[in-house]
Amino acid sequence: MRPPLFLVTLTLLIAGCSTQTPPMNEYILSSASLAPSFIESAAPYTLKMAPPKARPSLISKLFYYREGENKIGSYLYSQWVDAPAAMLDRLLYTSLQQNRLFSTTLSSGSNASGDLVLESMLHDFSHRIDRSGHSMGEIDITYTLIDTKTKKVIASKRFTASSPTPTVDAQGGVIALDHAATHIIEQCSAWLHLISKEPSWKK
Amino acid sequence: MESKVNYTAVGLFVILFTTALVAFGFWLGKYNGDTKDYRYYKLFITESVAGLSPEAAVKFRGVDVGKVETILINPNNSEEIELTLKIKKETPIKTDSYAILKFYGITGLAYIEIAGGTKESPLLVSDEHTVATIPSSPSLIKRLDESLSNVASKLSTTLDKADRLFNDRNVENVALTLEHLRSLSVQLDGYQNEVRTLIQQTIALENNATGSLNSIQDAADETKKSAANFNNVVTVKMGNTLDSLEKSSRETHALIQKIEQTVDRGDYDLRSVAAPTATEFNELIAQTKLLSNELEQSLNHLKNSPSDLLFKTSKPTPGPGEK
Repeated sequence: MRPPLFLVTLTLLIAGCSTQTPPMNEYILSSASLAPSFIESAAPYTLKMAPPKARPSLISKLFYYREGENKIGSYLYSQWVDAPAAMLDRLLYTSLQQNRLFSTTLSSGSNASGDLVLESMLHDFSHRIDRSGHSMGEIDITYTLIDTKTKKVIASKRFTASSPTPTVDAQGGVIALDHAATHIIEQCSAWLHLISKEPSWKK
Repeated sequence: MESKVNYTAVGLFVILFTTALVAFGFWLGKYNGDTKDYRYYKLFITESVAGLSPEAAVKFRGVDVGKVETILINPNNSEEIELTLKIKKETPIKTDSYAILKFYGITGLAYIEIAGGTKESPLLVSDEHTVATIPSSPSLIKRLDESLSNVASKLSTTLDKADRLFNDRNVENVALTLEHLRSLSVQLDGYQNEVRTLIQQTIALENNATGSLNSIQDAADETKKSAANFNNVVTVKMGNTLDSLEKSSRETHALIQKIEQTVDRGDYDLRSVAAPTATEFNELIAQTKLLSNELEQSLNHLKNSPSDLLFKTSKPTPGPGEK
């Protein structure tokens, strides 16, 4: 009895592997659309970016979409190359380094410590489709700036951005979220520039 | 017998008698020319001068020195009686002398008594042009009258207050208080034995305390001796101990210097050793989170459709734009 049972099971497993699915498309946020800012002088501080945090469902490479107010699903054949929070973190790091907002900007993986730490918490990163068939790419994130010496919060702000999609599919969602991410990075850079010029928290 | 009248004797008698009669008349009419021997003073009295009449005596400390010349109601002040006193020139009326209305016994006749006037005070000058005024003082009668009036008034007030103090309620309260005092007194009598016992115990306690204090004093003496001995021991032993301690300190100092050199070289810099590891560990945790999340999603998928493991029978909902 045993050899036939083993053979049947093996046949079924092989049959399962023989299932064909369309190829998976992977997407990444692009920094090509980030415009350089003209900062007259870099703030004399070292900024270190803390490891990004996100809502549990966003710690994934799945590409989520929302239909209406409550329905959430993920694309079957499209996904991100990395978790959205990590992609946004890299994008902001690139922007801050390019624009020299601070004398030095350290990534979350650096062993060095900075004068300031920037923490982030991603609340939403999805492709939203409303009942009328229009869709938007939406991002909701909170950034918190902390003084390393005193461990006190210097400032904290929540940023939201949305951008319409050219097409109601994964490709269009990626383009819209790319635009929204650019907008978020610009807002955050301007906010950090303003904070670094304020004398209230400086010694 | 024929009487022979001696007309010479009769004429002489008539002349002498007439002369004497005229002299008596002058004496009686006070034309004795004594005005140069007296001085006049004014006296103003506010009390009644009943019993005082012109010619009444003026006495200086009991000595007759003059008389009352006139008694008038002061035309400028109807509340005062203006008296003019005629006093002998040599009488020492001083500026601080004063006049009092006095009476002779029970007869009701009055006279003016000049009192006061110290030896050092200047004389109160009165001459033909200016008449000096002697100050007046209330008479004994007036003072008695005022005093009696005051006494009567105060007595009346006191009686009123006494009447209020001794009203029925207060009398009852006093009676009640006395009753309580009596009761307390009875109770205190009952406590006499206890008080006596307490006093005896106190005496015994005092004796014991005296004994204890003596013992404490002895103990203190012993402690003093022990402290002296201890001081000697400590002085000797501590000398040796301090030497040992100094030696240990030198060795410890050398050891600390070695440790400092080692630390300065960074041999024990745990932070620098651990920091890269911690960073790698953080990244590993982040990747593990991602992996566990995807694993959870796969398991949920299998849980909802176990046959997919072998046959892939379920058809997941495609996203927008997917077929």
